[in-house]
Amino acid sequence: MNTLLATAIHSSERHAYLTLRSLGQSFVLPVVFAQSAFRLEAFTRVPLAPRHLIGLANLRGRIIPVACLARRLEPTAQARGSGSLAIVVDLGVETFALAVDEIGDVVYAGDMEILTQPAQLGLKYAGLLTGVLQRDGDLIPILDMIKILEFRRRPDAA
Amino acid sequence: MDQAASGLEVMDEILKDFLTETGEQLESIGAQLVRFEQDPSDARIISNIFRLVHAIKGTCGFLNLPRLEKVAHAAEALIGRLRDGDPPSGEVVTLVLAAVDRIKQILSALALGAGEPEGDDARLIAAIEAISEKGWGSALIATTSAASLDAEFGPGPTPPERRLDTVRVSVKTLERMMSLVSELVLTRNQLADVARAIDIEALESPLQRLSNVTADLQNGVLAARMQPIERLFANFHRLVRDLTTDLGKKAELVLRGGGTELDRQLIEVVRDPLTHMIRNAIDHGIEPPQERLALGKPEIGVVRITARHQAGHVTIEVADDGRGLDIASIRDRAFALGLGSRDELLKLPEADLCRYIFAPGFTTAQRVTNISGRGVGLDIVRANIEEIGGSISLTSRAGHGAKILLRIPLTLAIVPALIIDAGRDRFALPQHSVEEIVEIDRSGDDRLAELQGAVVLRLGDDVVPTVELRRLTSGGVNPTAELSPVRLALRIRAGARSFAVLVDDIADVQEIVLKPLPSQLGDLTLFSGGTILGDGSVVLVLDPAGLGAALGLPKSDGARVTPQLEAWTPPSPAKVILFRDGATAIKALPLSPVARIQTITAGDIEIADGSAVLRIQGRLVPILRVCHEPLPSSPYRSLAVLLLQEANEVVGLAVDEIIDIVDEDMNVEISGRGDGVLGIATIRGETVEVLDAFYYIDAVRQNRRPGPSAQRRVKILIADGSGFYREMLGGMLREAGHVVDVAGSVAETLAILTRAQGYDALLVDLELACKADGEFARQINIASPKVKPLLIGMDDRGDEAARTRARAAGLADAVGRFDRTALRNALLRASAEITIDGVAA
Repeated sequence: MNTLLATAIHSSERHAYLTLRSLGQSFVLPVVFAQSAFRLEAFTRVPLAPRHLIGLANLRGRIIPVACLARRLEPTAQARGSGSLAIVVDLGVETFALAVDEIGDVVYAGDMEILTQPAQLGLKYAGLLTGVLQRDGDLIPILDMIKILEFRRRPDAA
Repeated sequence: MDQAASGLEVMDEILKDFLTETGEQLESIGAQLVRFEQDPSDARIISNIFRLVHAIKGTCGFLNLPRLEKVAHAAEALIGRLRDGDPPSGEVVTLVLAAVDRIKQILSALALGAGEPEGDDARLIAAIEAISEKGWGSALIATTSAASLDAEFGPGPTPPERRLDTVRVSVKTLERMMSLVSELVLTRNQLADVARAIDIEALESPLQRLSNVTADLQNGVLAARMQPIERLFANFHRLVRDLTTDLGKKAELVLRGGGTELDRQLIEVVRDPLTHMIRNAIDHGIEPPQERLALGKPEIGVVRITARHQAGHVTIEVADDGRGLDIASIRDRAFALGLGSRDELLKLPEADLCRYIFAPGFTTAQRVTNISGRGVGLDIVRANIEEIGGSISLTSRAGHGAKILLRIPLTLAIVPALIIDAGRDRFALPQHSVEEIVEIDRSGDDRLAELQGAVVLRLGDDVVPTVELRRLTSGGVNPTAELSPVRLALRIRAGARSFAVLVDDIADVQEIVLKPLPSQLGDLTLFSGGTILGDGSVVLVLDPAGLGAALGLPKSDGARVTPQLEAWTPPSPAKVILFRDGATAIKALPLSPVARIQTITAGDIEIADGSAVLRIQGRLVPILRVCHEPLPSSPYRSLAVLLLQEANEVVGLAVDEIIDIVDEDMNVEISGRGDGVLGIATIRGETVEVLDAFYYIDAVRQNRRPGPSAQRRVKILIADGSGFYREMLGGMLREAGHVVDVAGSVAETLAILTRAQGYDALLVDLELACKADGEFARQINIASPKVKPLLIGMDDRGDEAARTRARAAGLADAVGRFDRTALRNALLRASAEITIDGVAA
C-alpha cells in the first residue's frame, strides 16, 4: 500500500489533493482515496479501542470505523463528535471515515511542488505524512492515510 | 453375507464420492481445456489437468475400473511430457482432449449406474503411446494429421448426460446476497418503526407485503447457502472402515437423512465433533466380535447417524448398539477428579453421571489408544457445539448402546440477541449463550458478594464469578466509578465456563445480523462483531467467550484436570497441589513446576551411591523426601511422586498421598525458614504448609555442580498484587542471596522507591505495569532518578507476546512467573549492568 501511495505521488504530471483542516491547520490527502464526505450523525463508541478511533458508523448498511484526525495527530485533543464532517476514505481493502474540522477545495500539484522527505523538515507530525505540498509559499502537509488508519491497541485493553 | 452386502454398499458409496468429486473437477477443468486448446503451453492448466488425470488413475485401481485406468494411465504419460516442458503440437493437444473426453464418457456411463461401459480404447491408447514413445513429430504423426485424429477420436456420440439443473454460484456471491438481504431486513425494520410512530393506515398493507416478501427472500437466500449434510457423511464410511480394521472390530455405518440441509459454514463446524463421536462409538462402544457373539448380539455392530430438521434446528444423532457407557468407571473417574464424594456420586441418577463425560479431562479409557481416550475429548466437542449456539446431550443403556444428540441452529448469519444497556453503551448479546436472567438490587442484594477483590454472585448452591459490564467496557480506566443502576445479572455459559455479567437493563430482543468488525478492531476479543439495529444505530455484539476471558477465566483446554465441573476460578489464581506426608500438616506445592505425578510403590525406588533414585523412561531421577525424611521401610507402601521440572533438571518428591489439586489464591503468612518451606497458608479452611519446589530442584542441582553460584547479589523490589506470588518469589530470591523488598501496588512501589534508592531490579506483575499506557515505567524513572532499576515484567507464560507487551510498556523484558532460569538470566543482566555502571563511574 505504501508503494501505491508513492506511485500516486510520483507518477505523471499533476495530482489532485483534497484540502482539509484539523487542529487549526491545513492538510491535504490524495483525492483518489477520498470517496465521499458526510456529516457524522450518530456513531457508536468502541470500548477499549485506540483513542483516535472514536466509534463505528453506519454507512449505508456498512459498519465503518470513524477515526478522528485531531486525536490521531494529538492524542490528548478533544475528539470530534456528532455533527462534524467526515471524509470517507477508501484504501481498497479498508474503508473508514476520517472526522475533520473543515473540508476545502481540491488542489492540483505537480511533482516539482511536492517535498517527499517531511522528516527532514523536522515537522511535528512527520511520521504521519508522506510529503509536503509547496503552494504559493505555503507548506501543506500531505497525510499518509495508511499510517493514519493504523490502529494500535492500547496496551491496557487486554 | 451381511458383511458382503455392506462391503458392496461401501464400494458404492466410495464410487459415488469418486464420481461426484471427479465430476466437479472435470466441470471446473472444462473452461481450462478450452484455454488449453488456445494456449497449450500454459503450465498451470497443464498441471491441473495432470493432477486430475493422475487422481483418477489412482482411484481406478482401487475401485476396479480397468478401462478407465488404462485410458487415464496413457493420458497421464502424455500430459506428463507436456508438464515436463515438451512443446505441445496440434496432434498432442487433440489427443489430450480426446483422452479427457473419453474419460468423461466413461465416467458419465458409470454415473448411470451400469458399471464400466463396454468399449475399445485400444486405438486411442496406441495413438497416445505412439506419440509419447516415438517422440513429438514422429513418422506416425507425420502421416496422421490433426484433422484425421479429430475425426477418429473427436467427441463422437456421447452417452446421454445427466441434465444439470444446478448452477455453480461462488460463495462470495452468496455472501453478497446475504448481506444485501440483511440490509433489506434492516430497512424494513426501520420503516416499520417509522410507520408505527406516524400511524398512517395507508402504509399498513404495503408494509405488511414488504415484510412478507423480505421474509421469503431471506429464507430463499438462506436456503441457497444450505448444503445437504451428505457432503459430510461421504467420508465417514472410510473412517469407519479404517477404525474397525485398526481396532479389530466389526461395525457398519448406517446413515439416515443425508438430504437434511445445513448452512455451509455449520457443516464444517460439525465435521470434527461427528468424527470424534464416531471414533468414540467404535473405540469405546462397539464390543469386539467375539464378545458380541457371546452376548447374543449380531457380530457386526451398528453405528447409526441420523440427521433431521426440527423446529429451526438440525438434530444429528449418533447411536451405537455397543456396551453403553460404563457407569461404574465414570463414577470412579468423577470421584478421582473430585467432582463429588462417593456417596453423592452413588446417589446421582445415571443420566446426570453421563453428563460428566463432557467435563474437561474426562476419559474412562483404561489405556490410551491413538484412536481415542486422550482426554482431549468430549469437553472440546461440547465447547465447539455450544459456541455456535447448539447443544449436546447423551443417553446410554448398559448393554444396549449409547446415543449422542447434537442440536445445532440452521444458520449462524441471523441470531436472536438481547440488546442490553450498560452505562452509556448499548450492546447485543447472542441469546443462546444466556442461561438465566436474574433481577438484582444493587444496593443491598446479599447474593452479590465481594471476595478478594472479585465480585461473585450466589445463585442457589452455585457461586459464579461476576463482572460488571460497564466496568469491563471502561477498560478499568475509572475503577472508582459510582455505583451504576445495575438491575440485572445475566448468567452466561461459554464453553465449560459459567459466569455472570451485570448490566443496567435489557432494552430489546431482536434478530440481529452479525457483521464482522473492521479488521483493525479484530483484536478486541470482547466483541465478535457488530450489527445495525432497526433505528440504524450500530451496536457491538459481545462475545461470550471473550467476556469469560476478560474475567480471567481460563479457556477449557481439555487436557488439564479441573477439580470441579464448574469450578470457580478467581481472577488470578494459582493452581496448587495438596498432599499429605507424614503426620504433620497438609502440604501444598504450586502446580506449575510439577511436570507429572506418578504412583509407585516404595520398592521401585533404588538406592545408588547413597542416593535414592527412580528409573523413569530410561532416566534416573533423584528422589527426595519432604524435609529429608527417610523413605518408608516397607517396599509395598504406595507413594505418589511429584516430578518437579525446571529446564533440564528433574527431581522426584516422594509423598504419601495426593489429596487434591485446587485453584486457590493463597495468602502465605510466614515465610522463609529456608528449609524448603515457603510458609503457612490457609486453603479451604485448612492450614497448610506451602513448599518451595525450587528448593528441591536446587538441592539436586547443587549436588551435581558443587560450589556456590557465581551470581552477584542484587537488590530487588517485587511489585505484585498477589500476596502469594510476592511471598513465594520473595522467599525464593532471598534464599538465592538477594536483597528483596515487596510492594503490593503501584502506589506502594513508588513510595518505596522514593524512600529508598538503589534497587537494581524491579520485578513487576506485567498486568500492573501495562496499565495506563507506559505510565508505570515513566513514574518509576521519576521516582528513582539516579539508579534506574532494570524493569522486568512477570506473567504466567513469559512468552514472546508477553515480552512484546512488556517492551511496549517501557519494561526491559518479561519472564514467566515460575521460569526460574529466565528470571536468573534477567537478574544476571541486572547484576552485569551494575558492573558496567560501576566501571563507567
